[in-house]
Amino acid sequence: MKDFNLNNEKIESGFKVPEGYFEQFESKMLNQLVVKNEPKVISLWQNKRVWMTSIAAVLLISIALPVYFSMNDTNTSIVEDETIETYLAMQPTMTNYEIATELTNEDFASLEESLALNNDAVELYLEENYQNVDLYLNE
Amino acid sequence: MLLEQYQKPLYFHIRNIVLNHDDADDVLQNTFIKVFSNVKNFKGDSKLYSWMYRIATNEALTFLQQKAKKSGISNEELQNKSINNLESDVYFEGDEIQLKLQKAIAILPEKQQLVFKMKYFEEMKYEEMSQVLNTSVGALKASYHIASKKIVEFLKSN
Repeated sequence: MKDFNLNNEKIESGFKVPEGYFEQFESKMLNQLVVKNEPKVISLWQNKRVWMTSIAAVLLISIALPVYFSMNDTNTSIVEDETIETYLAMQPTMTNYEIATELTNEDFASLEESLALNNDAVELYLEENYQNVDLYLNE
Repeated sequence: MLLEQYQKPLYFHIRNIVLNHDDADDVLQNTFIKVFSNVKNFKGDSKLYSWMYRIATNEALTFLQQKAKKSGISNEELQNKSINNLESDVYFEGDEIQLKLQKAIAILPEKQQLVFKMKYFEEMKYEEMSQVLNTSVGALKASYHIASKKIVEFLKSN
C-alpha cells in the first residue's frame, strides 16, 4: 500500500441498514409525533364540575347575603308584646307565681285598670266559682 | 417533507459517529423529536439543514458519552469495542479495508474524527461543515489535512 491515496481509492463507510428501514422509520416517527401533538383531552365532567361549583357558590351567596342583612336589621329584633305573652303562656316551666313576682306595682295598677277589678267584681267571681266563700273572706 | 428529506443523510451522519445500527436508530429518533419540538424556536440564523446536523451531532456525541459512562469505560475504549463488534455486524459490509479505515479514524482526536467523517464519507462542503461545527473553513481544512495524513500513515503501516 505504498502509493495509497484516500482520494484515488474512495473507501465507502460500509454501513448498511435493514431492508425497508427508512420507510418504517418514517411511519414510526410520524406516529410518535402524532401522539405527542394530540390535543390534550379535557373531560366534560371536569368542565361540568367547574360550572357546578360556580353555580353552588352563587346560590350560597344569594341565600347567605339576605340572611346576613336581615340579622343586622334592628327593626325585626323588636319582639311584639303578644309574642312574649304567648311564649310565657306556653312555657311549662314558668308558673303563674313566677310570672307574678316579675310584675311591678305599676303593672298591677294598669292590670286593675284594664281588667276593671274592684271588690264587687271579685266578690261576684268568688261567689260564682267557689262555694266556701267564707274561708276566703276570713283571710 | 422534513423527515423524508433528511432522515437518510442524518442517519448516516449519526451512524458514522456511533457505528452501530441500533444506536444510530435511537439517536436519529431523539434527533427528530428535538427537531420537531424546537422547530418553532428556530430563528433562521443558520440554515435549517445545518441546524439539524448540529442537533444530530450533539445527540450522537452525548449518546456515546452516556453509553461509555454506563459501561464504566472511556470514550476511546468504547469506540475500539464498537469497531471490534463491526466484524460480526450484519449491517456492516465487513470489507477488510473498510474496517481498517475505521480503526485508523479511531486514533484521531474527536474533532478531527468528525471533520474527516463529514468530509470523506458524507462529502460535505467546508462551508456547510463550518456552520454545523461552528469552526472556520480554514481550521476545518487544516484539520482534514492532518487527519488524512495520519490515516494514510496508519493504513500504510498496518
